Amino acid sequence: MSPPTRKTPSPAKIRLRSFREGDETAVAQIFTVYMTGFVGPSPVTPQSWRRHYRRQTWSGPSVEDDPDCARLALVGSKVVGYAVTDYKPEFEDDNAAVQELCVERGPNADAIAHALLADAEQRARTRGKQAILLSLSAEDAIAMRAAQTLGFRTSNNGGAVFMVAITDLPRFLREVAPELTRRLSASEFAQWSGTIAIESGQMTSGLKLSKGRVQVAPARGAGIRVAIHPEALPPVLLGQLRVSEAFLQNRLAVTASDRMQALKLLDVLFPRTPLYLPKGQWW
Amino acid sequence: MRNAAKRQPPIKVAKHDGGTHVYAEVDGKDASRVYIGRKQIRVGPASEIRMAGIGGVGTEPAMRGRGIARRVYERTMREVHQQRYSCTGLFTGTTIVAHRLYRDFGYVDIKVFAQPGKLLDPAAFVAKVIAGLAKRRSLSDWRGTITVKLREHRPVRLRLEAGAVKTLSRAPSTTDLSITVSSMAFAALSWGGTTPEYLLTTRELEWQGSEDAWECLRQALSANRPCIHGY
Repeated sequence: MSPPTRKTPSPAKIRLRSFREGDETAVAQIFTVYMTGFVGPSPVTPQSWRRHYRRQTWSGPSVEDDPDCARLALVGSKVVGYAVTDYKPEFEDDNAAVQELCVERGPNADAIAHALLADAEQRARTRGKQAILLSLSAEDAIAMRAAQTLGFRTSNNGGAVFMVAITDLPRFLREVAPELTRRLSASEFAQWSGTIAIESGQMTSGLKLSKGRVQVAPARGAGIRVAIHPEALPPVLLGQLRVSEAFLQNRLAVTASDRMQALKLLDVLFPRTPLYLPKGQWW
Repeated sequence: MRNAAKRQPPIKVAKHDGGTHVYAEVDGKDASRVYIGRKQIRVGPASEIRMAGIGGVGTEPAMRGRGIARRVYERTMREVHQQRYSCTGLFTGTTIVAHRLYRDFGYVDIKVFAQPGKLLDPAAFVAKVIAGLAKRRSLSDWRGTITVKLREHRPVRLRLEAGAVKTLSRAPSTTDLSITVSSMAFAALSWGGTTPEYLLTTRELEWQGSEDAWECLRQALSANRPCIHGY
């Protein structure tokens, strides 16, 4: 067997401990890095995280009353992950719910997540809970791998659903224009110039692309015209449905001199993106 | 018609806790309500959107079926526009009546959550759930044996008699009803996150045995109030 090419801490070196005052700085940093790329999470500061978990509420436990509800994983003295588990979720006193599980990305990420989740499960058993549930993103592969190896099961039970209505398309596009610029400038279309008209139900807006920048502009005279069925508009804008998929499903029509290129450009601007709405932030 | 319109309670708006309450007031109490909270939703590393997050939606049971919730929601959507939100979002359950109301106001399903979980003591959980169901009217007079086979665990055999439940250590000579279901689907069923009909349709649940016994259990399970389970 060839020797390891990179020295990484073994799972045995992962140490777990409960939350202590001052940990919020490391926790907020891990959260922010871990959540980058997901649609949904609001930015977290040490102060906002600490404020949120001050007292037991509908949206989470209290680290003051029960420091064990937030467990930190350390390698040496460095915090490399943490989990927040609510052992008294509202309306479900018999259960425990893991509502944050964030780890430092890297070769040890799976081992850290596994250790934190196994610890949460053990604590739920000790506290006499009937079930432990994950209020995490199903698109978070690290958390889902840890859950799978620990025997968690998922049931498509027709339960909770997140719904969105777009109420002002031009305003929405103005808010996301900096992100559209970022996506455009990193793509093969960075030099593309022109206007895209987006129409959905009663709403219309234009996007002007020039020198790698995206701005909201009037839709008239657009070289590319997109008509999106109102049912497909929120999933496309929030990265849950690719433009080319919606096109294939006849939920979106594109008029352009080169339709295939136009679809490619639209896929660059509105890519498929994982969604995560942390319970602690949403409720 | 005019009298019916007159009886409609006034819809009021109040700013509170950084958000907005929209409610219908009857005799000084809010009979139907919606809370609009400001949510910052990150869309990629470079942008955040301001979303009107809807929560605290409810109508007093005595006030339901009179169109009050719809009027409160019409006012809510006006408020969302007036407060210059570009979008609005909410969590609800696919099995509850409000899901249709939201669709009427332009909401679209973005994601249905399938929450992973694990039963920590499956046999005790099954026994507790069936004991709770046994007190319901459709099962309270029923006598017989039920086997619950959670797909990932050993079967749990129970005898029901006049509302009391006993766990059997051995397989009985005959079983009146045997249901097979995955553990988390059974858990969701027990807390009203789904319905027996839904699970039968998706083939997540199967039953064998007496039709009468199944009908009694189905009715007891269907008596669960629908809930939005998951996050």
